[in-house]
Parts: sequence; structure tokens; C-alpha cells
Amino acid sequence: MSYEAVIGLEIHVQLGTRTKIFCGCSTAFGAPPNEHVCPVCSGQPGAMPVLNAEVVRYALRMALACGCDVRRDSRFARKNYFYPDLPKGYQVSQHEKPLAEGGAIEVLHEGERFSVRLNRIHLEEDAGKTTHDGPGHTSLVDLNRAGVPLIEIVTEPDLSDAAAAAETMRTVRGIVRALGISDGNMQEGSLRCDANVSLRPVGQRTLGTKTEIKNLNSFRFVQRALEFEIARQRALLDGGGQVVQETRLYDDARGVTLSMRSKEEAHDYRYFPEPDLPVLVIAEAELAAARAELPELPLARRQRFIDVLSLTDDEASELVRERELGDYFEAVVAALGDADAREIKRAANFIRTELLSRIDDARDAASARVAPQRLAELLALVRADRVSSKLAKTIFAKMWDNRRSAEEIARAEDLFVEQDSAAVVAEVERVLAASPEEVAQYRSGKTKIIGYFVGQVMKATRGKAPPQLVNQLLREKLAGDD
Amino acid sequence: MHNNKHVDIQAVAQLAQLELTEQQARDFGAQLERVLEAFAALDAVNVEGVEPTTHPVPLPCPRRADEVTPSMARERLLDAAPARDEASFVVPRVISG
Repeated sequence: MSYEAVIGLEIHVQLGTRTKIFCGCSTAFGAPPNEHVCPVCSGQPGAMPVLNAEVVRYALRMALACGCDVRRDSRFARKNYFYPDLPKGYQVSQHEKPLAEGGAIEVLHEGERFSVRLNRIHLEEDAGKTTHDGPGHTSLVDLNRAGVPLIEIVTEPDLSDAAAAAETMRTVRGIVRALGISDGNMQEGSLRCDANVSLRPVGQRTLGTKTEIKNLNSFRFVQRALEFEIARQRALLDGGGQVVQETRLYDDARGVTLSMRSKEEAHDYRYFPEPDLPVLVIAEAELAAARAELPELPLARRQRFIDVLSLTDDEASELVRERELGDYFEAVVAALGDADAREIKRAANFIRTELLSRIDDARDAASARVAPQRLAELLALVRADRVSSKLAKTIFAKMWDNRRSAEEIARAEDLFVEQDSAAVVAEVERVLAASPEEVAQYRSGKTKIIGYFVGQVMKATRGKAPPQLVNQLLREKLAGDD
Repeated sequence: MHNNKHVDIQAVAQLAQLELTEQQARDFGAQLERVLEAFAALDAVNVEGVEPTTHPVPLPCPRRADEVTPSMARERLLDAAPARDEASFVVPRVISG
């Protein structure tokens, strides 16, 4: 039988606030264990939580960016369960009345644009971290992460394949980075998800039995875990078996998902309203302020780059990958003044090749050794035919190394285009005189060999001859019979 | 087993991660049953159309500025735990393997 997969995601995003959600402990990543812990986040008796205002601002930004309905009076609730990394014995979350509902995330995957509808976005606190390498069969608990603010984004089951699910996670990362509310760093756990997946015969409307794969913390894992799980469920169903509703973990070393049977027993979180935190009231002015703060999202920016700046899909996609890279590109274009489509494309390509090859992370464009204004100066020299495209790359490399301007480098190293056409003519004639065999080949019809002559002239002039002039001179001279 | 009307004492014990002997289950089950019976008096109140009160005082949730305040001295924190190593709380291993 032919099946289709139905996938929904529960995405956790750590908000990039300085302090935890309910106390003033630092959220800085990488501190020694238990450095950032206080009576509130370690659950000491009598300690009272106070909500971090910035958390609300960030969460509102995400909710509005996704077009959610924001609840004006949302509630905090206690989700009760025991685990050593949860010092209070409950997680403060939101249950019946979450901050935001509805909305969608727009995803572009393999050239196709689709919407992943959202069920809700709510606030909650993160748990601590448990490692299982303690001496003598023990686990070690670090509470630095306990109380770090999270938003949980719950999607509707709108996805049907593993790659699209991974792309949805990439899109969420792009959005939270564009919004400046999280670094979206999966390796550090700032972005992770649980994936619910079930199979149903193609054409059937009712959903099959689902499993939940917990704690996927890389894009690759999201894709691989789902691919494995879909194949596992298909094999089960094809063999006449049934899928058991359960929680599973992905083991990347073996490339399989495994049942977490120990956690299956009695999932009863006994949610109840958090008595220590009154109703979270969102005022109209606050919503308006959050709306005013919304930047352009990556997909909208991409479309604008295509529509207004005439970039190709690929160029635009790459340049909007990180906000800082898109900002860099736009700053170059702005500094170029009224650049035409060709110049804009040249700027885009320069950034994609020369800049990106010199930074590890596209976000580092913000602090690149060659500022956008400086790159624009270089590109203006190319536009004025004072520097060849090829030598522009050489000049850029030198700008990167010694932070001088394009003009200074071109002057100091004699890299300007040869303006003396007599000198170019002489060079062309010298090259032709030195290559009688190639000249004969050209004249017998192998006109492609002109590239050889161009190369020779460029080599002799160290790339400084204006290519157009060289081409034109060569054609003239080769057409004649002298 | 136990004919409690309101409470499955073993389920409650499991959620609380408590192991009860048969005797304890009988004793606590009966006691808890009496507690719940007392509260059952509330069932008589007609609350139709009444919004559940989650907080007695209708105050909006106060918020604080996102400014770092000092955390606890780690030594003090860890010393309060039954078991610790240099920097972490030590607990019985919580996963198999």
C-alpha cells in the first residue's frame, strides 16, 4: 500500500535575553556547571518568580511575525513531572491559555513555497542539563539552563516529508535570527524540536497512530530521524503490524529511533494554574510597539531582492540566509548610488564569492574586515572601467589583509586599467607576431582560439589591459591579413 | 483492590514516585478519600457560567527589567544537596546503560 507521512513539530527556541525568565541569573552559555543558579531557578522553598519583561517582548515579536492571534490575558501553568534536571518538580509553562494561537510559517523548499500552520506559541522555562557520566553509576545535574526562557512553537501536522521538516526548522532559525530574539544555534541547544509523525494510506483523511521523536538538535538529525521513523512505520504497517503510540529517541550513531519505554508510564502532567504568576496581560500599546519593531522576514526580503534588485533565486536565497549578510549587501548597493542591475549582480556575486570565502559564518559579515562602503568604492572602480573585474578580486584580497582602500591599493600596486591604448595595441601586435601558428589556426576557422590571445595579452599586461579593447583589437588584427 | 470512590492511590503514588506497601496504600488511600470527600462539598455549588478563578487578586503579572543579578555562591548551593561533586549535583543514574 502507498502511505503518506503526516508530521508536526514542537519547536523550542531559547530566547536570547540576558537573564532567565523568572530570575536575574545570567543565561550566558558555556559557564562552569551551576554558576548561574539562584533560589528561584533552583526551586528553593519560598522563592518567588518575577517575569522578565524582555521575554514577553521577544515572544510577541515571534507571534506577530507568524501572524498569530495574541491573547491579551494568557496564563502560566505548572506542568508536573519528576526528573532530576527539574528542581521544582514542575515546569512553568502555559497550557490552556497560551500567549498566541494560529498563524503560520512560510517555508520555501525545493523551489516551492508552502505554509506550515501554527497551533500555538507559548512561553515556558527550560530545564537543567543532566549528563550520565558521573562516577559509580550516577548522573550529574547542572542547573545553569534551568529557567532559561523558551518559546514553544507547535505546528499543525502540515508536513509530509523529512526534508521539508528540516527546512521548516531552518526557516524558523532564519526568522528568529532576523527578529533578533535568539541565536537559533542548534549545536548549543538554542533551537531544538520534537517531531510527531504518523502514516496513513494515501487518500485517507483520518490520522494514523503517531510516535513522537524527542529532542532533535540538528537539522540533519531532524531529517534523518524522520526518514528512519517513516520507513520503520511503513515496514511495520506493510508487515501487518501496528504502530504503538510512544516517545522515541534518535540515536545518530546507529541512525535509528529507539523507544523510550521508561518514560511511557503514566504521562499525567496535572497542569494547573501557576499561583505565583498572575495573568499575563498584554496591552494594546505593547502589541503596537512590538508590531512596529518587526523587521522584514527573510522570505520577504528574498522576494524583494528578486523583484526590485533583479537577483536570481539562488543569489537572493544565499544573501538572505543571515540578516547580517543581507544588510551587508544592501549597504554595498546603497553606497554604490544608482547602480543598475548588472552592477547589483556584480555586487551580489562579489559578496557570494569573495566575502563569503573569507568568513566562517555569514553573520560575521557585520564585522567584515572590508566594510560595505569600502567594497562599494572598489566596485565603483570596476563600473568606471578603471579596474578589471579580475583584478578587483586581487585588490579585494589586499583590502582584506591590510584594510587600505581600493584606490590606494590600485595606485600603490599599479593595478589600474591601462588607459594608454597605444600601449595595448603594441602588446596585441607583439603577441600576434609571437604566435604565427595560432594566428594561422584562427584564420582557418578555429576562432575560439581568440581566448588564447586574450590570455597572452592579459598576462603580459598583468591583467591591466581593458578586456573589451583587447578583444576588439584582436578581432580587427586577425581579420586583416597583415 | 481498594474501593475508593475518588482516588486511585497507586496511580497517585506512582506520579509522586513513592513506593507504598499494601498497608500504606490502604491507610493513605482511606485518608485521602476522606480529604476528597470533604472537598466534594464544593460540588454542590452551582458554578455554571462562572469563569474559573486562577488568581484571587486581579493584578497583571508584574515584570522586571532584563538585568543580571548575582546568582548564589555555588558552594552554598551544592552543599545543600545530598550528593555533589566539584561542580554538579550527583543523582542516581536516570537512564539505563
